[in-house]
Amino acid sequence: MSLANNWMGGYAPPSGFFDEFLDAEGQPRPHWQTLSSKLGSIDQDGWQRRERQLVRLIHDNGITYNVYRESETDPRPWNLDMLPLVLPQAEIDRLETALSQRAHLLNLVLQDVYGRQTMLQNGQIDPFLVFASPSFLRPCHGLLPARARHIQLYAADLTRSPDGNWWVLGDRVEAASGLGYAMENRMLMSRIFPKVLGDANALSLSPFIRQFCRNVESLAPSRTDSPNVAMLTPGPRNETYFEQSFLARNLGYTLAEGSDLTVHNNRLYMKTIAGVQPIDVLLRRVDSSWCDPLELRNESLLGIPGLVNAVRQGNLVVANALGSGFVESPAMLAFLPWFCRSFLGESLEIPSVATWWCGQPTEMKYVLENIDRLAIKPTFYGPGARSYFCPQLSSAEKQDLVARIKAQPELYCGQEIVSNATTPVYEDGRLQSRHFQLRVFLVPDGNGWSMLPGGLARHAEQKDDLIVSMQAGGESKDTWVLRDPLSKSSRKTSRGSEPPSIRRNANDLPSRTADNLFWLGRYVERAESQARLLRALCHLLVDQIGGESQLCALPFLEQIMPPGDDAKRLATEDQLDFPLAEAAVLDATYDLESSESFLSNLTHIERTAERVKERLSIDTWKRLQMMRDLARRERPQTNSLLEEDTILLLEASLDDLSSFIGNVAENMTRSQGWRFLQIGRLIERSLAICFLLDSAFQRHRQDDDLLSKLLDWADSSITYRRRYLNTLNPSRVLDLLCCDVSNPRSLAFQAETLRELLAALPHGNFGSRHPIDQIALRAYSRIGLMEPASLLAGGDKARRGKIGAFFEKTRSDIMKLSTALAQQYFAHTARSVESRPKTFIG
Amino acid sequence: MQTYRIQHRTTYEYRYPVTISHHAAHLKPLTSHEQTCQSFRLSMTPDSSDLVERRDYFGNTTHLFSIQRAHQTLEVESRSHVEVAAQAANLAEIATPCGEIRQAMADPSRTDLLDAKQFLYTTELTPTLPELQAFGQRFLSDEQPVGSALAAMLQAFREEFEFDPEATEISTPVLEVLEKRRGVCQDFAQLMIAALKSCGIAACYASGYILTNPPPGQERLIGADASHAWLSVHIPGHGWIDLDPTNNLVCSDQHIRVAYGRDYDDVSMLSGAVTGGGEQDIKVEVTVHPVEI
Repeated sequence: MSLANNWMGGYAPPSGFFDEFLDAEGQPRPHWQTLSSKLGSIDQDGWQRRERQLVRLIHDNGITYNVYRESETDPRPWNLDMLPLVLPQAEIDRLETALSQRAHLLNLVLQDVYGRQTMLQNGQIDPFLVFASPSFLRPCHGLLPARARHIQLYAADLTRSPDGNWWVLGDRVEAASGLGYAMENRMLMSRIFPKVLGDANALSLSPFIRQFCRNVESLAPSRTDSPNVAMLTPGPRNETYFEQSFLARNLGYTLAEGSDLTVHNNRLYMKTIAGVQPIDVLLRRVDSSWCDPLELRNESLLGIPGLVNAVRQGNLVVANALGSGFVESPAMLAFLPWFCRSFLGESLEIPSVATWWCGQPTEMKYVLENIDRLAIKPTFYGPGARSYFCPQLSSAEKQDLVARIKAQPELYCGQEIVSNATTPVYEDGRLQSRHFQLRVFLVPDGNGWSMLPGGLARHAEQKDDLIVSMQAGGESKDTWVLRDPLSKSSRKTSRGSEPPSIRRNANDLPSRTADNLFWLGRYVERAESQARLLRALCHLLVDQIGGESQLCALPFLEQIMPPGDDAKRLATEDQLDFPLAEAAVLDATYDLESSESFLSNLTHIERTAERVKERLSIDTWKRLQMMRDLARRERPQTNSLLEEDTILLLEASLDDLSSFIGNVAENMTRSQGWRFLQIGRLIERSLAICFLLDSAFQRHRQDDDLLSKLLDWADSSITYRRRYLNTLNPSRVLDLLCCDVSNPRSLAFQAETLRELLAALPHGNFGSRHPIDQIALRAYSRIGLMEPASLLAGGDKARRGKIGAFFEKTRSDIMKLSTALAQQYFAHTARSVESRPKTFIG
Repeated sequence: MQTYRIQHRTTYEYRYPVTISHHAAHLKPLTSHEQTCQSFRLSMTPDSSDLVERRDYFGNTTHLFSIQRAHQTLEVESRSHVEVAAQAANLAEIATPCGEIRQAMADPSRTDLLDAKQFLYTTELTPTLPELQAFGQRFLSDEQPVGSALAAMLQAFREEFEFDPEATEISTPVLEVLEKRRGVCQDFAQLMIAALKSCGIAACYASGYILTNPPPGQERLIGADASHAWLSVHIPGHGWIDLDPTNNLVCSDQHIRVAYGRDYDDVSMLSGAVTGGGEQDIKVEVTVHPVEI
């Protein structure tokens, strides 16, 4: 093995730690040998190309980790190192055995605490650790049958000490995150190293995922072939929202927020556009205490009132069980060896990092005497509770901490600081060492547990950082477990694209999602129409500075003025005030203070899209990502439209918007979700047409300049000229933009398409003509019956009255339609199931 | 021994229609060695189709129900018939020194005290704080016999605190009650609990009723015509003793016990989560009639 021959030579991990790549003699460990020569043979161009590809994949897929920090309003892009953490299968097999015992034990602890409480009765646990724990949820006592499994997904944070042994830093069962990121890391690695990954014989993650799904589906309280599973998310602001939506999409479960769900007659239902749909199993990513404002934390807006009782009545299974976060307390680490003895008669197969609970006098004394080399952790996590890494504290901070421990010792635990092992990362064409931790996952499998042959490795940002934290800016790695040719286990290796199968019920569109898709459609269309208006204005103002024809900008300016501001102030009798108009256009484009500005609209698109991310295809999502970057543009310093920035921004936005719309048209399944998005667009476009034409035909003189600008705005100039050559005639223009069903930018086209889309929504099944259809029909007929020539005929006053009335009525119908849709489909509340038996008379 | 007929009506008026509401009620009086609930009826308008009765973690009866139909008014009414046989403990006879109680409660090997220990620790509404400890220590010093200490504490509530419904809200922290020296029964009960806990003595929150119209010649008690709150303190060897700091009383058969918990949040008589509704107006009417036998 000649490391020195390629770029991987020269890797020098710090001494005193275990390194994953090189052994104590500086030789690659056996399981690295083949892989390191493969990776070593990739030249620097190859690495750089992959690095760019990786950055693009992460950006395009919108993979993020949100950090709650005031200075950071943008989600942070995901960080993935290009080198995997590599482990031999034998190591994972050993860990699986050891961690299975631990998962089993934690489950027994939960059964006991939420059941007979023998640990308390026998004095094996200080009552403080149970009764004072905010994670011991009294309404969950006796909630599950005595032998029920509380944990369906167990995660452990591991670290490796200098002697090569693994230690558990913490157990995660409350709402264990990271599985989605681990899957997504593998997906990324399989894209940038398809061949290396295949040749390396890395074990596939899919069987584990399938096992997880099988378990989850088998939990359904009433036996059914296709139980309904939903994943409860705290929402897009949560730091791991990306992975929640990624997991939900890949497991084929619906991602639901608390407001999507409702409890009726002690059963959980999801509010969908087709009515309510029962939910059998709820995978939760919301902490237990926040899951039910009725019986748990009553200020919770994330939860579902009545959820606990639905479980209690046996109509729902929640995974992991409500209240399971109890075992996450750092103090548990100190007691697990005893629990293991008493519950299993065994000793712990994998040790926890040494932990002392200060609620015991001897332990407190030890912690205070050794505080300089310890970490101090809160006994219970909660608001204001944080961990301290004592070697980094100033002496004043340490004194303060000691005083607090002495005042309330039971609230603190001391924990040994483990010298985390190191692993190489790829940095600027070289290997650098980083300290890392590994999060692994286990799910029940028959009577035992099986472990994901992989995991989420996280490493520190800087070379000598001993603390590994995603919050503090750490990075992640994929974990490859290399198949041991001699192993008897039947694990499969990774091939091709992972992960797996998607099943989806077509009729499960949650009302909230329909609402968001509808608004996404509206915002996209609004942005498009705005960009067209603003672009038209830029041309008008810039091309014809000082010209009289600038007055035809007024109807357009009227469309972009903020509410309460009148475009009239921008012009005198026969002259437009250029600086004022220019400022109005710039404000309408860039002003983030106004929620109506163009850039604000792009932000609305981004925010709304974030909420329905799991419904959009990757390619569609990419278009939105590009708009994200545009939404960050700043107003030109010169404050002038003569600068090209603004027009370029508008052009670029129009490109991205139309490619988004094109993508939706090309790639989105004609599902109910797609319909809501389209309906939103049509409604918005109808409104835009009404407003502009109303303004242009009612209040202004329809000279050739204005008419041709209107045709440009509606992308209909060519059609018009083909039909009528160059003679511009108001009633012909009005006909083309209003009544011509073949023109996709005409009002009639919107009305007709709307009717078709509405007909496919579930309200049609309710029999008699629904208000939605009545309104749509009314608008459709009015537009169809309108005759441009007679509308424009007569004296000035009469004409204005007719035009005004026509557009006013049409607009009002469209608004009513929007409200009726909201009432029927988006009122996340009003729908309830009728509990009467299904009998039909006649 | 005293028998009571209790009628408790709560009316919610919402500004806008409520589409769905879920409620939890702790309204059914307890049955214990001190008291028997002979009959109980819970009704609501609009009616609920999913009423469930259960015993909560602390042994109280809880009712859970939802209203699945749009409504702007909700009326919840309970009627109960209760026989109370409780007798007032004689505090003067309880001479265990406070220090001894503290020690027993802090001893992890005393598993016989588990039931009391669950009422020993901080909750959001009854925190353990140095200021509260200082207040408690005025009465509960190590050598002090607990009976007379508690009597002095009750006396202090009568003398130093003023009943004032305007001074506090449901969310007013006990520390503020201690500073203002004003509040209602719930504030005084939670303040005394928090002070006892801060001094290492277990105490729990009691929710219930007292007689509306006292027998001729007796003073009308504060807290009538509404639900009432007091506390129960645990003394190893003696058990639980109910004390009413609002009325400077050791409870007897004038108090009707409905539920015990760590604080108000555990046992609030009626709570709910509603969708829609906007502002709400709540009216509570309670009448407690002694039944002549």
